[in-house]
Amino acid sequence: MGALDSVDELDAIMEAAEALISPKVSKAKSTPMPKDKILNKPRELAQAKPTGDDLIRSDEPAEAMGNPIDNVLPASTDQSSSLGSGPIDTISAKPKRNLGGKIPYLFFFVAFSIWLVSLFTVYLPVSGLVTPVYPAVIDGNIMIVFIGSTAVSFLISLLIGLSKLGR
Amino acid sequence: MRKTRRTLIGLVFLLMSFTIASVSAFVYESAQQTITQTIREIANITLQNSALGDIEEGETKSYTKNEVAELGDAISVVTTKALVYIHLNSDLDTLAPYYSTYSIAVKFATVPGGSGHSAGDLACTLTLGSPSYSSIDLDVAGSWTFDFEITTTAQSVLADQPTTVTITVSAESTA
Repeated sequence: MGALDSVDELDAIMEAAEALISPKVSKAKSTPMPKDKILNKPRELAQAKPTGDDLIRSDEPAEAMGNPIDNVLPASTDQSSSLGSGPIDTISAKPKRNLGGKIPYLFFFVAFSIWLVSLFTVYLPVSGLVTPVYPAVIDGNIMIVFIGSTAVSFLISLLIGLSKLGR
Repeated sequence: MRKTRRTLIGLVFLLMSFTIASVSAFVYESAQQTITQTIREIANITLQNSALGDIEEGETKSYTKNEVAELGDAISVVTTKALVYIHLNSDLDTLAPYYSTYSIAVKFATVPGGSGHSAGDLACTLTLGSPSYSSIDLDVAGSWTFDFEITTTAQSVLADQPTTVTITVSAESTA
Protein backbone atom coordinates (compact mmCIF):
# COMPACT_ATOMS: atom_id res chain seq x y z
CA MET A 1 0.00 0.00 0.00
CA GLY A 2 1.81 3.15 -1.19
CA ALA A 3 1.39 6.84 -0.46
CA LEU A 4 0.04 7.34 -3.96
CA ASP A 5 -2.86 5.04 -3.25
CA SER A 6 -3.80 6.96 -0.14
CA VAL A 7 -3.77 10.24 -2.11
CA ASP A 8 -6.11 8.70 -4.68
CA GLU A 9 -8.37 7.48 -1.93
CA LEU A 10 -8.36 10.92 -0.34
CA ASP A 11 -9.42 12.44 -3.65
CA ALA A 12 -12.21 9.90 -3.90
CA ILE A 13 -13.35 10.78 -0.40
CA MET A 14 -13.32 14.51 -1.14
CA GLU A 15 -15.34 13.99 -4.31
CA ALA A 16 -17.85 11.86 -2.48
CA ALA A 17 -18.14 14.41 0.31
CA GLU A 18 -18.67 17.26 -2.19
CA ALA A 19 -21.27 15.21 -3.97
CA LEU A 20 -23.12 14.75 -0.71
CA ILE A 21 -22.88 18.37 0.39
CA SER A 22 -23.38 20.12 -2.95
CA PRO A 23 -27.15 19.50 -3.38
CA LYS A 24 -27.86 21.21 -0.04
CA VAL A 25 -25.57 24.10 -0.91
CA SER A 26 -27.10 24.56 -4.33
CA LYS A 27 -30.60 24.41 -2.81
CA ALA A 28 -29.65 27.02 -0.26
CA LYS A 29 -28.29 29.19 -2.99
CA SER A 30 -31.33 28.79 -5.17
CA THR A 31 -33.78 29.97 -2.51
CA PRO A 32 -32.63 33.24 -0.97
CA MET A 33 -33.39 33.66 2.73
CA PRO A 34 -35.68 36.55 3.73
CA LYS A 35 -33.98 39.50 5.40
CA ASP A 36 -35.73 39.15 8.75
CA LYS A 37 -34.76 35.46 8.92
CA ILE A 38 -31.16 36.34 8.24
CA LEU A 39 -31.26 38.84 11.11
CA ASN A 40 -32.86 36.36 13.47
CA LYS A 41 -30.70 33.41 12.50
CA PRO A 42 -27.88 33.98 15.02
CA ARG A 43 -30.46 34.26 17.83
CA GLU A 44 -32.17 31.08 16.72
CA LEU A 45 -28.87 29.27 16.61
CA ALA A 46 -27.99 30.51 20.06
CA GLN A 47 -31.35 29.42 21.50
CA ALA A 48 -31.36 26.08 19.74
CA LYS A 49 -30.87 23.27 22.22
CA PRO A 50 -29.94 19.73 21.31
CA THR A 51 -33.05 17.60 21.14
CA GLY A 52 -33.28 14.10 22.49
CA ASP A 53 -32.78 12.75 18.99
CA ASP A 54 -29.61 14.78 18.58
CA LEU A 55 -28.20 13.46 21.80
CA ILE A 56 -28.97 9.89 20.86
CA ARG A 57 -27.50 10.35 17.45
CA SER A 58 -24.33 11.92 18.81
CA ASP A 59 -23.78 8.96 21.10
CA GLU A 60 -24.22 6.42 18.34
CA PRO A 61 -21.13 5.10 16.59
CA ALA A 62 -20.55 6.50 13.15
CA GLU A 63 -20.92 3.07 11.57
CA ALA A 64 -24.43 2.75 12.96
CA MET A 65 -25.36 6.11 11.42
CA GLY A 66 -24.26 5.00 7.98
CA ASN A 67 -21.40 7.39 7.55
CA PRO A 68 -21.24 8.17 3.82
CA ILE A 69 -17.46 8.23 3.90
CA ASP A 70 -17.34 4.65 4.99
CA ASN A 71 -19.38 3.69 1.94
CA VAL A 72 -16.82 5.27 -0.36
CA LEU A 73 -13.71 3.90 1.31
CA PRO A 74 -12.51 0.45 0.43
CA ALA A 75 -12.98 -1.83 3.35
CA SER A 76 -9.57 -3.45 3.02
CA THR A 77 -7.47 -0.29 3.54
CA ASP A 78 -6.08 0.34 6.99
CA GLN A 79 -5.69 4.06 6.27
CA SER A 80 -9.38 4.45 5.59
CA SER A 81 -10.20 4.10 9.26
CA SER A 82 -7.67 6.76 10.22
CA LEU A 83 -8.89 9.06 7.50
CA GLY A 84 -12.48 8.66 8.56
CA SER A 85 -11.76 9.53 12.16
CA GLY A 86 -12.06 13.29 11.54
CA PRO A 87 -15.74 13.47 10.62
CA ILE A 88 -16.62 10.73 13.13
CA ASP A 89 -15.11 12.75 15.97
CA THR A 90 -17.11 15.82 15.05
CA ILE A 91 -20.33 13.82 15.00
CA SER A 92 -19.71 12.09 18.31
CA ALA A 93 -18.75 15.30 20.16
CA LYS A 94 -21.27 15.73 23.00
CA PRO A 95 -22.91 19.12 23.52
CA LYS A 96 -21.67 21.02 26.55
CA ARG A 97 -24.14 21.07 29.40
CA ASN A 98 -24.74 24.13 31.52
CA LEU A 99 -23.84 22.86 34.99
CA GLY A 100 -23.92 26.37 36.45
CA GLY A 101 -27.71 26.44 36.24
CA LYS A 102 -28.02 23.22 38.19
CA ILE A 103 -25.90 24.19 41.19
CA PRO A 104 -28.76 25.88 43.13
CA TYR A 105 -30.91 22.78 42.65
CA LEU A 106 -28.04 20.59 43.81
CA PHE A 107 -27.55 22.73 46.93
CA PHE A 108 -31.27 22.69 47.59
CA PHE A 109 -31.42 18.90 47.25
CA VAL A 110 -28.57 18.45 49.73
CA ALA A 111 -29.98 20.95 52.23
CA PHE A 112 -33.49 19.52 51.91
CA SER A 113 -32.23 15.95 52.50
CA ILE A 114 -30.37 17.03 55.63
CA TRP A 115 -33.44 18.93 56.77
CA LEU A 116 -35.70 15.88 56.32
CA VAL A 117 -33.37 13.57 58.27
CA SER A 118 -32.89 16.07 61.11
CA LEU A 119 -36.64 16.74 61.18
CA PHE A 120 -37.41 13.08 61.85
CA THR A 121 -34.58 12.86 64.38
CA VAL A 122 -35.96 15.81 66.34
CA TYR A 123 -39.66 15.09 65.97
CA LEU A 124 -39.93 11.30 66.40
CA PRO A 125 -39.08 11.17 70.13
CA VAL A 126 -41.70 13.84 70.93
CA SER A 127 -44.35 12.75 68.44
CA GLY A 128 -45.75 9.71 70.26
CA LEU A 129 -45.40 7.61 67.11
CA VAL A 130 -42.70 5.54 68.78
CA THR A 131 -42.20 4.46 72.41
CA PRO A 132 -42.21 7.70 74.38
CA VAL A 133 -38.93 8.82 75.91
CA TYR A 134 -39.14 10.74 79.15
CA PRO A 135 -37.64 13.19 79.86
CA ALA A 136 -37.02 13.79 76.18
CA VAL A 137 -33.41 14.59 75.38
CA ILE A 138 -32.53 16.17 72.05
CA ASP A 139 -28.87 16.47 71.16
CA GLY A 140 -27.83 20.10 70.80
CA ASN A 141 -25.79 19.35 67.67
CA ILE A 142 -28.82 17.79 65.95
CA MET A 143 -30.85 20.87 66.83
CA ILE A 144 -28.17 23.11 65.29
CA VAL A 145 -28.13 20.97 62.12
CA PHE A 146 -31.93 21.11 62.00
CA ILE A 147 -32.08 24.90 62.35
CA GLY A 148 -29.21 25.42 59.89
CA SER A 149 -30.64 23.12 57.24
CA THR A 150 -34.03 24.79 57.70
CA ALA A 151 -32.54 28.21 57.02
CA VAL A 152 -30.49 27.07 54.02
CA SER A 153 -33.21 25.04 52.33
CA PHE A 154 -35.78 27.79 52.97
CA LEU A 155 -33.55 30.46 51.45
CA ILE A 156 -32.50 28.43 48.40
CA SER A 157 -36.06 27.33 47.71
CA LEU A 158 -37.29 30.90 48.06
CA LEU A 159 -34.60 32.27 45.75
CA ILE A 160 -35.17 29.59 43.12
CA GLY A 161 -38.91 30.26 43.25
CA LEU A 162 -38.48 34.02 42.96
CA SER A 163 -35.98 33.73 40.12
CA LYS A 164 -38.32 31.42 38.21
CA LEU A 165 -41.21 33.82 38.66
CA GLY A 166 -39.08 36.87 37.91
CA ARG A 167 -37.97 35.69 34.46
CA MET B 1 -46.18 27.00 27.42
CA ARG B 2 -42.59 27.27 28.64
CA LYS B 3 -43.43 30.38 30.65
CA THR B 4 -46.40 28.66 32.29
CA ARG B 5 -44.19 25.74 33.25
CA ARG B 6 -41.57 28.09 34.66
CA THR B 7 -44.22 29.94 36.67
CA LEU B 8 -45.55 26.68 38.06
CA ILE B 9 -42.07 25.54 39.10
CA GLY B 10 -41.48 28.91 40.72
CA LEU B 11 -44.73 28.66 42.68
CA VAL B 12 -43.90 25.12 43.79
CA PHE B 13 -40.51 26.24 45.11
CA LEU B 14 -42.06 29.23 46.88
CA LEU B 15 -44.70 27.01 48.46
CA MET B 16 -42.01 24.55 49.48
CA SER B 17 -39.95 27.27 51.16
CA PHE B 18 -42.93 28.41 53.25
CA THR B 19 -43.81 24.79 54.09
CA ILE B 20 -40.25 24.15 55.28
CA ALA B 21 -40.40 27.23 57.50
CA SER B 22 -43.83 26.34 58.95
CA VAL B 23 -43.04 22.69 59.64
CA SER B 24 -39.72 23.58 61.21
CA ALA B 25 -41.35 26.16 63.48
CA PHE B 26 -43.97 23.63 64.61
CA VAL B 27 -41.40 20.89 65.26
CA TYR B 28 -39.06 23.27 67.09
CA GLU B 29 -41.88 24.51 69.31
CA SER B 30 -43.07 20.95 70.07
CA ALA B 31 -39.55 19.84 70.92
CA GLN B 32 -38.96 22.80 73.21
CA GLN B 33 -42.27 22.23 75.01
CA THR B 34 -41.56 18.54 75.45
CA ILE B 35 -38.07 19.13 76.78
CA THR B 36 -39.22 21.64 79.37
CA GLN B 37 -42.33 19.72 80.52
CA THR B 38 -42.15 18.25 84.02
CA ILE B 39 -45.36 16.27 83.48
CA ARG B 40 -46.08 14.74 80.14
CA GLU B 41 -48.86 12.52 78.87
CA ILE B 42 -47.22 9.40 77.51
CA ALA B 43 -50.24 7.22 76.68
CA ASN B 44 -54.00 7.33 76.30
CA ILE B 45 -55.47 3.86 76.50
CA THR B 46 -59.04 2.96 75.62
CA LEU B 47 -60.47 -0.35 76.78
CA GLN B 48 -63.70 -1.52 75.20
CA ASN B 49 -65.79 -4.33 76.53
CA SER B 50 -66.55 -5.47 73.02
CA ALA B 51 -62.90 -6.46 72.82
CA LEU B 52 -63.29 -8.45 76.01
CA GLY B 53 -66.20 -10.54 74.72
CA ASP B 54 -69.74 -11.18 76.04
CA ILE B 55 -70.55 -11.08 79.70
CA GLU B 56 -73.73 -12.18 81.46
CA GLU B 57 -75.39 -10.40 84.35
CA GLY B 58 -73.74 -11.36 87.63
CA GLU B 59 -70.95 -13.17 85.85
CA THR B 60 -67.33 -12.48 86.83
CA LYS B 61 -64.70 -12.63 84.14
CA SER B 62 -60.95 -12.12 84.24
CA TYR B 63 -58.78 -11.19 81.31
CA THR B 64 -55.02 -11.30 80.95
CA LYS B 65 -52.70 -10.77 78.00
CA ASN B 66 -53.06 -14.48 77.26
CA GLU B 67 -56.74 -13.98 76.35
CA VAL B 68 -56.55 -10.41 75.04
CA ALA B 69 -53.22 -9.55 73.41
CA GLU B 70 -53.82 -5.80 73.74
CA LEU B 71 -53.47 -6.07 77.51
CA GLY B 72 -49.80 -7.05 77.16
CA ASP B 73 -47.32 -4.14 77.21
CA ALA B 74 -50.25 -1.76 77.48
CA ILE B 75 -47.94 0.96 78.78
CA SER B 76 -44.36 1.35 77.58
CA VAL B 77 -41.96 4.16 78.31
CA VAL B 78 -38.24 4.75 78.11
CA THR B 79 -36.85 6.88 80.90
CA THR B 80 -33.60 8.77 80.51
CA LYS B 81 -33.10 9.45 84.21
CA ALA B 82 -33.83 7.87 87.57
CA LEU B 83 -36.89 8.67 89.71
CA VAL B 84 -39.61 9.23 87.17
CA TYR B 85 -43.17 8.90 88.44
CA ILE B 86 -46.07 7.46 86.49
CA HIS B 87 -49.62 8.67 87.17
CA LEU B 88 -52.74 6.88 85.93
CA ASN B 89 -56.11 8.60 85.62
CA SER B 90 -59.20 6.79 84.37
CA ASP B 91 -62.94 7.30 84.08
CA LEU B 92 -63.63 3.88 85.57
CA ASP B 93 -66.04 5.37 88.14
CA THR B 94 -68.56 6.16 85.38
CA LEU B 95 -69.15 2.40 85.02
CA ALA B 96 -70.12 1.95 88.69
CA PRO B 97 -73.89 1.69 87.97
CA TYR B 98 -73.34 -1.19 85.58
CA TYR B 99 -70.60 -3.27 87.21
CA SER B 100 -70.27 -4.53 90.74
CA THR B 101 -66.59 -5.21 90.08
CA TYR B 102 -64.29 -3.64 87.53
CA SER B 103 -60.66 -3.68 88.48
CA ILE B 104 -57.59 -3.13 86.37
CA ALA B 105 -54.36 -4.49 87.82
CA VAL B 106 -51.23 -2.84 86.42
CA LYS B 107 -48.18 -5.12 86.58
CA PHE B 108 -44.54 -4.58 85.73
CA ALA B 109 -43.68 -6.56 82.59
CA THR B 110 -40.23 -5.23 81.66
CA VAL B 111 -37.95 -3.77 84.30
CA PRO B 112 -34.47 -2.33 83.68
CA GLY B 113 -31.51 -3.84 85.50
CA GLY B 114 -30.74 -2.39 88.92
CA SER B 115 -34.35 -1.57 89.72
CA GLY B 116 -35.99 -2.52 93.02
CA HIS B 117 -39.02 -3.78 91.08
CA SER B 118 -39.32 -7.15 89.36
CA ALA B 119 -41.25 -8.32 86.32
CA GLY B 120 -44.68 -9.56 87.38
CA ASP B 121 -44.88 -7.32 90.48
CA LEU B 122 -48.15 -5.48 91.01
CA ALA B 123 -47.64 -1.76 90.42
CA CYS B 124 -51.18 -0.57 91.25
CA THR B 125 -54.87 -1.44 90.88
CA LEU B 126 -57.55 0.81 89.45
CA THR B 127 -61.06 0.08 90.74
CA LEU B 128 -64.54 1.60 90.52
CA GLY B 129 -63.91 3.29 93.88
CA SER B 130 -60.40 4.54 93.08
CA PRO B 131 -60.12 5.08 89.34
CA SER B 132 -56.79 6.96 89.52
CA TYR B 133 -53.41 6.18 90.99
CA SER B 134 -50.45 8.31 91.90
CA SER B 135 -47.78 7.22 91.53
CA ILE B 136 -45.63 4.33 90.29
CA ASP B 137 -41.98 5.14 90.82
CA LEU B 138 -39.53 4.18 88.10
CA ASP B 139 -36.36 4.13 90.15
CA VAL B 140 -33.78 3.68 87.38
CA ALA B 141 -33.41 4.86 83.82
CA GLY B 142 -34.28 2.39 81.08
CA SER B 143 -37.12 0.71 79.24
CA TRP B 144 -40.29 -0.07 81.20
CA THR B 145 -43.46 -1.89 80.13
CA PHE B 146 -46.63 -2.72 82.02
CA ASP B 147 -49.34 -5.34 81.53
CA PHE B 148 -53.00 -4.97 82.43
CA GLU B 149 -55.16 -7.64 84.07
CA ILE B 150 -58.89 -6.97 84.21
CA THR B 151 -61.58 -8.49 86.40
CA THR B 152 -65.21 -7.56 85.79
CA THR B 153 -68.56 -8.55 87.28
CA ALA B 154 -71.56 -7.21 85.37
CA GLN B 155 -74.38 -5.85 87.48
CA SER B 156 -76.68 -5.37 84.54
CA VAL B 157 -76.37 -5.78 80.80
CA LEU B 158 -78.25 -3.20 78.74
CA ALA B 159 -78.23 -2.43 75.06
CA ASP B 160 -77.03 1.17 75.58
CA GLN B 161 -74.63 0.32 78.38
CA PRO B 162 -71.41 2.37 78.31
CA THR B 163 -68.52 0.01 77.80
CA THR B 164 -65.48 2.16 77.31
CA VAL B 165 -62.79 2.96 79.85
CA THR B 166 -60.15 5.57 79.09
CA ILE B 167 -56.89 5.59 81.00
CA THR B 168 -54.51 8.51 80.70
CA VAL B 169 -50.92 7.80 81.63
CA SER B 170 -48.58 10.65 82.43
CA ALA B 171 -44.98 10.78 83.52
CA GLU B 172 -43.48 13.25 85.95
CA SER B 173 -39.95 14.15 86.73
CA THR B 174 -39.38 16.38 89.72
CA ALA B 175 -35.75 17.26 89.10
